[in-house]
Formats: sequence, C-alpha cells, structure tokens
Amino acid sequence: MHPEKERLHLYLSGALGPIDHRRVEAHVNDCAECASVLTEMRAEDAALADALKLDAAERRWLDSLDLVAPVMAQIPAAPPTTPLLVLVVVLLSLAGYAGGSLWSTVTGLLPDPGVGSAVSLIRTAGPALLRLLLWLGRGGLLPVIWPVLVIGAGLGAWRAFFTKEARGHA
Amino acid sequence: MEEREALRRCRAGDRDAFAHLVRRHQASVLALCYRMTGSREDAADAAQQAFLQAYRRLETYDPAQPFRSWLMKIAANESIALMRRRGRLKEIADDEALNRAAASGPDAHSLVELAEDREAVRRAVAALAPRYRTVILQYYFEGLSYQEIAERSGLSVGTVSTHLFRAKQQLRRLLSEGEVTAHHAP
Repeated sequence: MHPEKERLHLYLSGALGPIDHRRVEAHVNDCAECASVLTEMRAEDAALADALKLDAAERRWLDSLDLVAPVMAQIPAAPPTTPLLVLVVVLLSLAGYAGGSLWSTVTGLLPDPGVGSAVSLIRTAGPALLRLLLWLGRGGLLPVIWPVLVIGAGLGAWRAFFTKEARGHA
Repeated sequence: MEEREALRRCRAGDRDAFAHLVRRHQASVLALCYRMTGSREDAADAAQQAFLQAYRRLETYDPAQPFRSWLMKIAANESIALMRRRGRLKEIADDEALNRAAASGPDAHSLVELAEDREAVRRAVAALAPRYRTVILQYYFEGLSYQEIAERSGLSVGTVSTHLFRAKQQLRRLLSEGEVTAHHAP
C-alpha cells in the first residue's frame, strides 16, 4: 500500500520520526510510483520558488523606495535627558503650585496678597510652559506632565490653605 | 555600524541607529510585504507599520535571536493585519474534506505546469489563508528551512510541513480552477 501524499511530503521535509522515515524510505526505494511522486514534489518546490522570485521590475521598484524618512517621521523624538527632565519637573511643579495658590485665593481660601504674585508668575512663565508642554507631548511624555501638574497644584492649594489656617489662629 | 551596536544604541534611545536598521532591512521587509499583500501600496504601508511596531517592541526583542528573523515575523503579521483592516483579506476556505481527498488522490493538474504562469502564482499566494500564505512565503520566498520556520512561528516541524503541504494543495486548487482573478487578487 502506497503512503499518502502528505506522508511523502513529511518524509521529504524530514518531519517524520526515525522509524516512520525508514519505513517510507524502504517503500520508496522499491516503488517507482512513489519515487515519481517525490520527484514531482521536488520539481514543484523548484517551480514555486522560481515563480515567487522578484523580477527585474519588482527589484527596480523596491530599490526606488526609501522608508527611512516616512518611518522616522512617525517615531517620536527621544525623551529629554535626566537634567532636563529634572528641570521640567521643577518648572511643572512651580506651575502647578502657582495654579493651586491662585485657585485657593480666588475661591476665598486665602485673602490677598497671594493673588498678585500667582497671576504674575503664570503670566510670565505661561507661554514658555505651554510650549514646553507641547514639546513634551510630542516626545511621548504626556503621561508624566499631568501627574506633576496635579501634585504641584495640590501642594499649592494645601500651602495656601495652611497659610490661611495659620493666620486664623494668629 | 554593526547591527548589534545599532540595536544597543536604539535601546538607548538613539533614533539615528534605528534609521540605520530601517535602511539596512527595508528591501527585505518591503519584498515580503509585497508578496504577502500582492499590492505595492499595501506593501509600503505594511512595511512602515512593521518598522514602527519593531521600534515600539524593541524591548521585547531577544538579542540571542537574529534581528532579521524577528523583523520579518512582524512584517508578515503587519501585512495580514493591514489587509484585514482594509477588508482585503479573502480567506479561501480551508476545506478539510478537500484536503483529505487531495492528500490521497492523484493531482488533476501538475503544479509545475501551473506555476509557469508566475503572475497567477503570485496572485494565488496573496489569496491564500494567512497561515498558509505565511508558510509558503517563508519557505519558497525567504528560503527558510522547516526548522527555521518552526522556530519563528513556534510550531513543530511536523505542523509546518503539514501547513506547507495544505498550502500547496490550496494553491493548486486556486490555480487549476482559475479562482484567482484580478478581482480576487488584493
């Protein structure tokens, strides 16, 4: 009985276990029909490999393409180095602190003189900070920005509230 | 720049080093994407996506493995994903009954003769079910051994061999029945 074609294919690819391999080999050596099937399979392999090769026109097209620019355009700029990151965190904390103080003052937690200094700080540093935020956003640091701002704002509000409490007690 | 050095620099955030890797591998990646998708436009998009994915997943790359092999696997997956997103994945039914019949019965058509129409073969390959398309291209186009395909795909050599056999049966069916038309091609 002839082995199935799939079995012959497994034999050809060396995927059979040693016992099965020897069994099929013994059969193929004595069976002209199966030997012919194996020859045909080898020819098919060669024909398919040849059909899938790149032809000259395809090679020219491949050589004409340059993926470097489009790929690199989609890769964000490298994140800032550590000293710059520290500076950014400090600036963001200050911004958050100023925002928190201002909010506390405006909502009546703290009477003047906090308003003037907080407004002044935001007016001075605001545009630069905005540009910094946009730049960091492009650099993939957006997830870092908001926690730092929120923590800074919390500290600012807490400080303002604490100051008011201290004044109340005094 | 050596590939290993480029990879080390990439991991340290050096974009130029990654540009070097793109330049080095773009032809192979594009060629595979082209055979996977059968379309120049899709191939260029899939290749770009493959490089971006590679950059994002660089931390998961095992330096003990060849970078090219890792990249080509991503390229094959991205090609399939892109075609699926664009609704161009026409999966040919993997008919078990037909597979069984093909595994035992004589072939009505010789694949050697059918493969003479190279354009039809390429269209047919681009219309195969993804797992068969991938294995056919890894073996016949990339020239990988069964062992290398098995390592890349995480399958056993026996499963790779079975996939390849069935892929050829499906290819024979597509070619002999003239199922692959310009409309069928992606």
